[in-house]
Amino acid sequence: MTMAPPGPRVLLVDDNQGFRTELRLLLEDCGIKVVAEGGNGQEAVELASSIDADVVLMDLRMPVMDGLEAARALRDRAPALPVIILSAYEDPALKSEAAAANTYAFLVKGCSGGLVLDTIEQAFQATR
Amino acid sequence: MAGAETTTWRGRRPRAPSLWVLAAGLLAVAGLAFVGASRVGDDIDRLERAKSLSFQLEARVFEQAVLESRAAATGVPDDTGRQRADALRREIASALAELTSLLPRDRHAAATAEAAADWQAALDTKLSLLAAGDLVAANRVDRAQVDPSLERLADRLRGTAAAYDDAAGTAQRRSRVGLLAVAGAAMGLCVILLWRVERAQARQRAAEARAGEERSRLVNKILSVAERQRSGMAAELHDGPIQDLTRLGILLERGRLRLRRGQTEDGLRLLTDAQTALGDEVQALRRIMATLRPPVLEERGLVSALCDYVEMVREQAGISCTLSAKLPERLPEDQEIVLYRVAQEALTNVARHSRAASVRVELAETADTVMLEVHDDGVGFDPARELVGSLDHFGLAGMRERVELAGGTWTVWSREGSGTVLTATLPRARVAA
Repeated sequence: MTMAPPGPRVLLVDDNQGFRTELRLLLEDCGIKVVAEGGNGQEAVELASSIDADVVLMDLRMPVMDGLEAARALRDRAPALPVIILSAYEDPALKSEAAAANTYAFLVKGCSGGLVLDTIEQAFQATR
Repeated sequence: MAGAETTTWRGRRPRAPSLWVLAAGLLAVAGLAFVGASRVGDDIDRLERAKSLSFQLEARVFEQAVLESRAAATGVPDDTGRQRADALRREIASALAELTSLLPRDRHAAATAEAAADWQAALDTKLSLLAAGDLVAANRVDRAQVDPSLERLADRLRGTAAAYDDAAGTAQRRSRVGLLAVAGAAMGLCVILLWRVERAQARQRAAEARAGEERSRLVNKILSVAERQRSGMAAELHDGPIQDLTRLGILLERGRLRLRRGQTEDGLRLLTDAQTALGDEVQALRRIMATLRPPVLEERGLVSALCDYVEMVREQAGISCTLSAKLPERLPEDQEIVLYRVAQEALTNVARHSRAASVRVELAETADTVMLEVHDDGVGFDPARELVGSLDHFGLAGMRERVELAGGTWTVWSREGSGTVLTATLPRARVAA
């Protein structure tokens, strides 16, 4: 009997607790493990250095430290860790800034769950 | 801690001396100078006349002396000479009388009058001797009294004429000084008038400039407030409906996944959850819409809109909130919006910051105004500090600007521990029939 290859381990960061919980349940329903959750960019940076995650799925607009600043910090500290932005803002300027921060993808909230799952899977595969 | 404070400041500008007081003072000076100059002018005329009379008298006296000498030489004067001498005497006496009336009561006048009296007395003596036929005595009196007194009178008259000539010159100089004073006063008045006019114009220009700056500041403030409101609304939409709807989408995704996997019961439960969440979201969006512009304000007016808002505060903030409104008819739309926004902002502050147990909203009108008051029994605050230190804190400055832009007045009274009373008063204006 062959063991299924391990799925991506996700660090989920969003300041909206309800949204975060719902998204975690969806990911877990689809076999994706959420290894940690954070409520702002600073927590994301700290968690990324203390837990073993394959992908960061992170909001942009958050208190304390926003997603872009956190993405830039992660780019410097863990350049191999892909960061997927999941934001309510569909702003080209924000997309450019996110790209400049070396994020893997920019998703807009309201997109299908399938797109979120596929993007996480692609990011995970890209790191292997 | 600060005591009762209000935001109604009224400064009093120090009053400059009244223009009318200055003008009256200058006119008084000019009037006095004019009267003085007129009197000096009268003096000049009188002195000139006295001087002229003195010269004429001197000539008559000299002629009289000649006649008297001739009479003395011939012994008996002829008829023509006597008639001429009589005429001259009368003329001299009349002129002397006039001169005496003209002369001021000074030493020249006294000396002249004395000399004239001496001469008159000597002449009368001589004439009485002549009338008595005592020619020898008459000649003796003529030489011993008449001639010397006539010479003294002539000398005295010359001296008087010279003295009054000097006096007339002095008076003329005084008159010129008086006229110069009048002209100077008039010029001074003109300068002061021009200065006052210029200063008034400068003050008006400054006031207009200040008003322009104030308008510009208010417009910028309105734009800034509008921008901030839009930004706040964007944040509210981001944090509320967008997050919730996104979460709802994920919920539906999970439900769909369960159904596809044949987990019907779980799938239906998730769909039910999604339906409930959707209903909640519609309610949330309705609240946002009501905040932006409550339909009731447009449809049923300010009183109904305030009723609804007061009810909402009572339910959501758990504060005893009452409304007392006495408006027989609706206000113009712009005034209703201003008063509604002020009440909304004030009640939001009460709910967020005051820790009040009760709040009372009163809406009433007088013949000229419509007034909104919001009283609470909360912890109060220092209005001066809130308004001066941080203009946007609690939205007080925004409320004030909104009311002042509508032509009204806005005040807040508060004391720490004693609650707050906020009052907005607008000039009454009826909706056109």
